[in-house]
Amino acid sequence: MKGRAELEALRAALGARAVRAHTPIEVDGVALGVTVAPADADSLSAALQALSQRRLAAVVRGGGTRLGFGNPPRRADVLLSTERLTGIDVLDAEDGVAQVWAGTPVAALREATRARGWELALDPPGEGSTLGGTLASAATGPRSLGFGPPRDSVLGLSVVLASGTRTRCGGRVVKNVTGYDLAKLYTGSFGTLGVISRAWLRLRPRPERELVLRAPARGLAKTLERGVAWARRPGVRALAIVDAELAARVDPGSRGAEEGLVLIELAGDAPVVERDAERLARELRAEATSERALERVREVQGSTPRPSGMRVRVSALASRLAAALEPLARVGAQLLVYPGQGLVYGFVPLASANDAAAARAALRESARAGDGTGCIEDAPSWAKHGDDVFGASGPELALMRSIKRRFDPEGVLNPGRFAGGL
Amino acid sequence: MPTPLQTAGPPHGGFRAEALYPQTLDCVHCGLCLSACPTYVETGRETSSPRGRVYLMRGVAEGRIPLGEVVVEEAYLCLGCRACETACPSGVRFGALLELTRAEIEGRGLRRGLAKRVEAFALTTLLPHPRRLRRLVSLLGIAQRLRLDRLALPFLPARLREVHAQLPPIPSRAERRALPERIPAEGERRGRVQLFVGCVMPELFGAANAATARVLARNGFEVVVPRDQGCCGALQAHAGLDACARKLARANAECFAREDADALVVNSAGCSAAMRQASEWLGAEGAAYADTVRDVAEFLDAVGVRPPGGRIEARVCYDDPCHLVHGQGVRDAPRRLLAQIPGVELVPHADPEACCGAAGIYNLTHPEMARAVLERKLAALRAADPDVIATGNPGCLLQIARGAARAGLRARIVHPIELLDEAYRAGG
Amino acid sequence: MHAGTAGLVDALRAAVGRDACLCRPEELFVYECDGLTMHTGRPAAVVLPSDTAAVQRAVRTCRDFGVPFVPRGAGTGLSGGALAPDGGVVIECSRMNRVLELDPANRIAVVQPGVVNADLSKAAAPHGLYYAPDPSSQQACTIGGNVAENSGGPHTLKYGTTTNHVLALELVLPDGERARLGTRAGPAAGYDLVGAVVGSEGTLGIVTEVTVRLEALPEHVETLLLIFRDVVSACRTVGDVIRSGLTPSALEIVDQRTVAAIEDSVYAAGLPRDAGAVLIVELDGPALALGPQVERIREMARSRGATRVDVARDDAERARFWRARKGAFGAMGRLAPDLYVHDAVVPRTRLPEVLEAVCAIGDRYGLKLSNVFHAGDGNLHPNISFDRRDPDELERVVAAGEEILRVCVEAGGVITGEHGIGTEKRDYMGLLFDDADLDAMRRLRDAFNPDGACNPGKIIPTPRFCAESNPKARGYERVPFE
Repeated sequence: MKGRAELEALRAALGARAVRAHTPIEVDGVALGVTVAPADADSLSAALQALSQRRLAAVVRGGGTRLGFGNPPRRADVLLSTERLTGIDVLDAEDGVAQVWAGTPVAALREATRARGWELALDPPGEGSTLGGTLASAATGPRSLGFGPPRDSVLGLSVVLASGTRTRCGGRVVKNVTGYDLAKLYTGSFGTLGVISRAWLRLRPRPERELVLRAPARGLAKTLERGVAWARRPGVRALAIVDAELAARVDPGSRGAEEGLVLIELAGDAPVVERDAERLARELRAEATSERALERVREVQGSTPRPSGMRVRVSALASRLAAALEPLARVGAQLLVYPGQGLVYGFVPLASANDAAAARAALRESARAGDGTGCIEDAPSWAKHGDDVFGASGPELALMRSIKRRFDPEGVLNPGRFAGGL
Repeated sequence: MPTPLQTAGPPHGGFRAEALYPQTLDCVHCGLCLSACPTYVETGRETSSPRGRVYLMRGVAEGRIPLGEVVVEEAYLCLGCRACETACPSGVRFGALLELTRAEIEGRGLRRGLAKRVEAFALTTLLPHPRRLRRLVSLLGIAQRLRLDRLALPFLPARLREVHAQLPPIPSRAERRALPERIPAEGERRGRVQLFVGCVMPELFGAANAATARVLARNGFEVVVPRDQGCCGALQAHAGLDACARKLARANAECFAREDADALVVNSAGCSAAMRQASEWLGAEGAAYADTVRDVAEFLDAVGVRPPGGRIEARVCYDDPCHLVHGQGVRDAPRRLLAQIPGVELVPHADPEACCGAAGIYNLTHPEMARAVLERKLAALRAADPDVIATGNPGCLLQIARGAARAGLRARIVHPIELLDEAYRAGG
Repeated sequence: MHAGTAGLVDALRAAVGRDACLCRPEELFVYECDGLTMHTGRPAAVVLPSDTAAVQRAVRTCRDFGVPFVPRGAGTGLSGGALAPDGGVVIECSRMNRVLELDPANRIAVVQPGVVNADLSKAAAPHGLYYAPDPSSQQACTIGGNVAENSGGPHTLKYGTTTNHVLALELVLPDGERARLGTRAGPAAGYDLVGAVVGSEGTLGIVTEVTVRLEALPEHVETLLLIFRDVVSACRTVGDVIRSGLTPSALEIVDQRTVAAIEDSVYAAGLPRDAGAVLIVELDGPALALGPQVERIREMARSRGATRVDVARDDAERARFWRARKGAFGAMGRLAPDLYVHDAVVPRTRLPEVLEAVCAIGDRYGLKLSNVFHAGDGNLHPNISFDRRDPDELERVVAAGEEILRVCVEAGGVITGEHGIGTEKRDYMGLLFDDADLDAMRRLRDAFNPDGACNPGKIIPTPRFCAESNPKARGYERVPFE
């Protein structure tokens, strides 16, 4: 915040309740002591207009679970929080669609949809994740195997642009090609193009039967091939492979996980789930466990080694997963793999800048070996060391900059934080 | 903004408009025909697609474009395979439209050149006259046996050299001997059929004709082969020589009307397709004639064949003649017949319903396109690697045999009926 | 004709080859429209490049001459997306029709844009895979066109549209530069540019390579043909199915008027003439699951008064059921020279009332209107048979079309579910979006296509004040259709 005067001006423009001073929160080396929390879309629009006019930059915040994900801000003056933009406007149980405010916690939304016989097809890690934050960061969990990425759940968005202009795209229907698909552009844009205020979501039918199974892994690499094959079967909603160390956290007291653990969630019609459970018992020596185990996988996925560590994610081709694991294993990363999605999470404890450099090099090597991409999801700012945490490069960045320039010419929204410093 | 069509008035006169124009309107411009069209697949040009050609025809009929160079080119670049008719959801009768267009072009004398002259000579001076044809084929046969043709080759103009390259080996005199006028039914009598032998078939595919007659007799049918039957007129109609085509069709309609029979059996798909449309040329007079026409495989499949006794151990690819599958919708009958031969394994290939590029004398008029279209067919056949390729049309038999020889395919190329005949004969 | 056209054609010939450049008037005549015959434009030339470099050269040539250009696939689009701007250049991708790579291990195919949709599935079939989006024109339409329009099809209910199956794209930008968006292992870092380009109707550049995800052929398929006394019961059954948690791969309804047209045509499928509506349900998945699912659907249909429930016994019967659906297009097409296939979406629960309103609109305008639609998605396709030689009828078609859109928007729907906006619905965008919404779309377009040279006049209505007061403000915008 540039000063007391700016704070007072914002308060005057937005009302005292919407602007709150607090103990500074550090976002990648920048301490932010003021949070702007609009109560509705009008107020969000006014807030952005005010910030834009004063050339103040905002770090947009949902549940705060992914604030460590990003490049250090080029500049940042306030946190802009969606915490008060909550509520479910529509939950149409006949049609399986819902219109929900961005600040609504995903957990609450999940409960509400389940109560009406539908499933929210989002499972981001992180306690307190909001809908808006999940969409803006395109956050996924183990169930993205069955759910698909968040973009698949989004039917329409209300977005307030940096200038304060309120816009809509998409709609409430499940099939729609009316104009440019801006919802795709906003989803996963880390709040750099606009602030999502409300979303129309497509819900999924609830399966008749759900069952989580655990099976011993015979070493990560050896289990991958079977994991990919199983993950491709219809009715497998989640499949995770964790190494021995993580196995202890995911399924404490479990036996037979000395070389890692496979967790599989089946969801679908009862006879199919039962048949698949039997097959898994035969093929992988799988046995039923509680849904808690899958929740703990999600927790692990969203965690970072303490006291200091790096969490990386590599997206690789199915056939190259084993190759992608190696470089990370060499730097001592704990590993979690979703073979069906081609995702590898590596958790690297860091003791020094050298460790961090080695981890970053391993990430690059892993992405290359997997013929995919890699990013640093979380790390202390010293460990990021000026690398682009998203691993962005190439001439396509010019196109992205051109988009950013047109949507946020003043650089109000998360400047510098996204891929290639967008 | 929507553009109303400028010519709302009556269609442009003279372009065989009464017959053609209303049929062009059946096309709703959906484009589903595009990928079925060999010349579109080869060129990628909308102009060279069925939808584009109908658009050109309609444009000419409405006076929006002239009947000029582009329309003439496209009318003859088209192979006339009618694959677009199978693909069309709106029932556009493209083959008929094409014939009308070509007739208009011929009528106005818009096509010239050597290819045109060779075509006219063959279609109007040779094919309708069996004796001339027979004499010419005999001469060619002698020339081939004495290798005179090869000696003469260097002195021929390029186009005629191309004609020479297209010539198949002329079968022996024995094979070209005419069939008896009546062949009695064998075993329990099931009926009587007339057999259409065609103009080129007796000269080049006498063996297939003989096999057809034998198989029909073997299945309890008395076979009548009227002596004064002649060329069916299909190629003339395709070429836009509609007066000549009409004359030939009328002669045949009269000839085959003299005898009472269950069916008029034809083993040349190009002929049967045209004969079935005789009512369009001849009106009611042609309808009775057209209605009795049956492709030999279609006929045998419908009446049911006696199980062949002999075995033929072979992997067989059946390739659909365009004018059988697209012109007459006969797709499964020949396959079912072949499948009844003990030992035959029918193997699918990637592109059975695509044109082979024969299309009358298309090889001579559009050698490059013909080659390209044939290449696709050969690639599919090569991949399937059969022992035998069966197809029921003389043009296709010639074209595929020539292509297979050049490409070094090991398969024997036969008419399906010949394979069935072999199986009967092997069974004693 | 555009000034300097002669020079343009020579330059294009130099860029792509003489054989790959069409410029004779009759040749250009057939390019005056795509699948939407109501809108026409006359290009100055058509080029048929065979590779990405040739596309780049063609685009740069157009830039040199200051003429707009439009990419075209098979020209089966129904909203005028491939409609040529007058005096512009059509860049037809039909010769870029090779499947460049099939990677069964990763279930990926890399194709050129001119590959025909159905050919891709055919190529993948030996590996037990197929390409899921199946627009009704799949035997002819191209993957490049599918990307431009974000095409759907009867099976999108379960499998999604094109956007759910495209992993990466190569794009020639409107300035002639080449860009690679996305990766075969998933999204690239940064904005989801693949998501933005899919469905952008060829206005953000020319797609020259597409990497798609393939699906495993389903283990088992069941197809049901249900006959109802009225379309409302059929729609309610669809609602019941959706609410029950079943996800059929297709839920298609053919209304009474279409049934009559089919049975009067050569496509007669043996449907009872008094059928109020036909509902086709297709389910796929493990055989174990489908038996009980079929029974549940049978039960739901019965309780909604279905008069007949047939389950296909084999592939031949399945094909016969689908003929009842697919023959509709041809049957309607034969009623008049032109067929307008309208496209709009409403919430699935609103289908019965919207259908009633749509039919009433058709009647009021004295038009031959019938409905065949993707009921599971709420995606309506009112088909109007007409004759564009009759200016009065054409006017009524356009007016009825607009009214139908208004009804759909009022019911919470949108103005296109799979055909796109193109020129057809450009001026109705305002029914759904305000100026700010449209401005946001314009920002995206301008980032790729700042002067509008690439496929001008599509999707976004031109602000009237802008075109009038400052004709140069939007460069190419004023070339077509003002």
